Amino acid sequence: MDPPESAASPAPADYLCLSGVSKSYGPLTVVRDVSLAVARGEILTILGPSGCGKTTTLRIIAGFESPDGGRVRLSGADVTDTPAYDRDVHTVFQHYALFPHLSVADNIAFGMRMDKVPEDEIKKRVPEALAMVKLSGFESRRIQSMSGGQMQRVALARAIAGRPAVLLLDEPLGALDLKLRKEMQLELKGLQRRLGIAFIYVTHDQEEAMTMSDRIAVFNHGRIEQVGTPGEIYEMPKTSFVADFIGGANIFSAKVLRGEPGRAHLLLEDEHELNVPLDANESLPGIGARVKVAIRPERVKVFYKDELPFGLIRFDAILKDTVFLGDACQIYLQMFKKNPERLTIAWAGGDRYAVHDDMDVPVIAAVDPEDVYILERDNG
Amino acid sequence: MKKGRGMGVYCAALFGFLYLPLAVMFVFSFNDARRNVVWRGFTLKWYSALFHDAELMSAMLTSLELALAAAAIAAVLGMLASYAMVKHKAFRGRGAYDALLNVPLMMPEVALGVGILTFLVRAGYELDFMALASSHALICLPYTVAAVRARLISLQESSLEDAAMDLGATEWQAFVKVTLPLAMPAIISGALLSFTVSFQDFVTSFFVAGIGIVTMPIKIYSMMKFGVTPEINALSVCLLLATFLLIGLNAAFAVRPDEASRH
Repeated sequence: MDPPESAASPAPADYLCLSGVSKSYGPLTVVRDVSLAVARGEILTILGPSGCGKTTTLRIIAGFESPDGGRVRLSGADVTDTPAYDRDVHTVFQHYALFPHLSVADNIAFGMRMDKVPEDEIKKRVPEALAMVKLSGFESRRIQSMSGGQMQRVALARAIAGRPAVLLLDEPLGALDLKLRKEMQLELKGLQRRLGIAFIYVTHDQEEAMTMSDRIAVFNHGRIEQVGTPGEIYEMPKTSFVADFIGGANIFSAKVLRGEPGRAHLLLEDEHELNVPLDANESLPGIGARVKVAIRPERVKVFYKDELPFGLIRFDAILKDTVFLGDACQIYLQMFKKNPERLTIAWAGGDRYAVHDDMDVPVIAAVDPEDVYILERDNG
Repeated sequence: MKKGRGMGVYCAALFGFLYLPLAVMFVFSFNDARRNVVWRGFTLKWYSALFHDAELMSAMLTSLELALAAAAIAAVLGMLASYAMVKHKAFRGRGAYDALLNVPLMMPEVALGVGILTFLVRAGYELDFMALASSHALICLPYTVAAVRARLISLQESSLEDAAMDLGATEWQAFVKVTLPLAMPAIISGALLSFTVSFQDFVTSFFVAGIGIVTMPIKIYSMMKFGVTPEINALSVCLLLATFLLIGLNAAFAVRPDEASRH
């Protein structure tokens, strides 16, 4: 489990390595100083909202864009100035980009023909690639006669047939419906395990990122906010953007009152005192500093009777609203008297009868201090 | 019901207005009389006369050669011009480039004809076949650009050239193996359109054609000086049928919108 700081330093196992990559279009900087290392056989997801620079980063890796600054290394060699057609990297495009004038087999053979692979070798590898994506026997089909899911598989077969070192996938499932998408996610993961090559997967869907990835790089405004395993990203978000983008979070402002080894005393929203444990590698942001803290909605517990939850921090709250979502209930709480507009969201299980739907009734909200994460300093 | 009938009458009137003159011409091309106004019985002799008129046949041949040459030049230039337009989104003078390519479409042909003539004479260039073919290519260019550009834009949007290069094709290979075959129907459609434009062009030919180059429209014009004969009717019918054939071909090559970029 690499700490993110060391993720950028090239290690022998790193297949692909970006260091200090930047890209601007005129006055608009879309990628800022991105450093990222991907190991052989790893699925790394670049996750972020639209316009965060994730597709541009992918195009820089593929060789369609050249960075203004920084280097791209592939299997130890600097490929920053290598054109796309000479890089051992293939892409699955967002809208598949299959050649409509060629048959399925000719689409898959395209890259191998460009690489001058002998025809009898191609004859063997095309059915292999098709079998990998479960489309055996589709060799002579026309592209126009296929469904979206089938085209997606052909695009995948075409990209892996040439046996690239790294496969880039640009929102490959974006055009499929939800059910098919879920199936394809697991299938892609299985395919990656069989091939043992690195996948770099771009998506804006946090659930897809959680499902697919060995590691996730969260992008915002062209910068990497955090790199880590899905567990790390979810459990230990470093910034309020990451906390909010992955899984959603209640983000509060707090003031550091005092600290002791491994613990911090915070004043939450100028009202409630909390004693929060710090992670081993986390340093206390100076006394008196304002910080942001995050609490996951599912970690906020709601009690309807006056119970005293053991070991939890207790807030006297008012129930403002309840939303039933099928597999969960969303509860809106008013926890702060000084700032009644600031509502806290809590998640409860899907048992709607366990949740009161009266409004404006007093309840007790409780949080485990372990579940309060200190994010960046609050400058706003 | 009433509304429907009104619509029918309107349509009949409209199409009558459009096609009745052509129908009259068609019928009278079979009229067995020197004068064009009274029906004297059916004959094919005008058609036969047409094909035995050596001068006319030579004009026909000139026009065909001219239209072929102009269409070929316009197709190649149009493809290259629109490829540049689509491939390079922003360059200095982009707006002027787009506008200037379309100018020949709007410009009075008389002005264009005088301009080309003055230029060629000033440049000391002989008014030969190639001079005329190039002038025709100039008026055809906006048509091929319009046809090809739309197709190239939809190809660009589906990142097919990127995909080819990603799979190891050089820029040239991507162009030859992917873009060119997929743009071909649009190029052919633009070329067919150019062919008709050139074949029926009168004004530019009238100015630029040197001595000894007689195109079909110029020949018809000179025949008309002696009155509208059934022979001209017959000739016009032939031209009309040829045009319909080209329009049909063009429709067959027209790109269906879903074909280029199915997502």
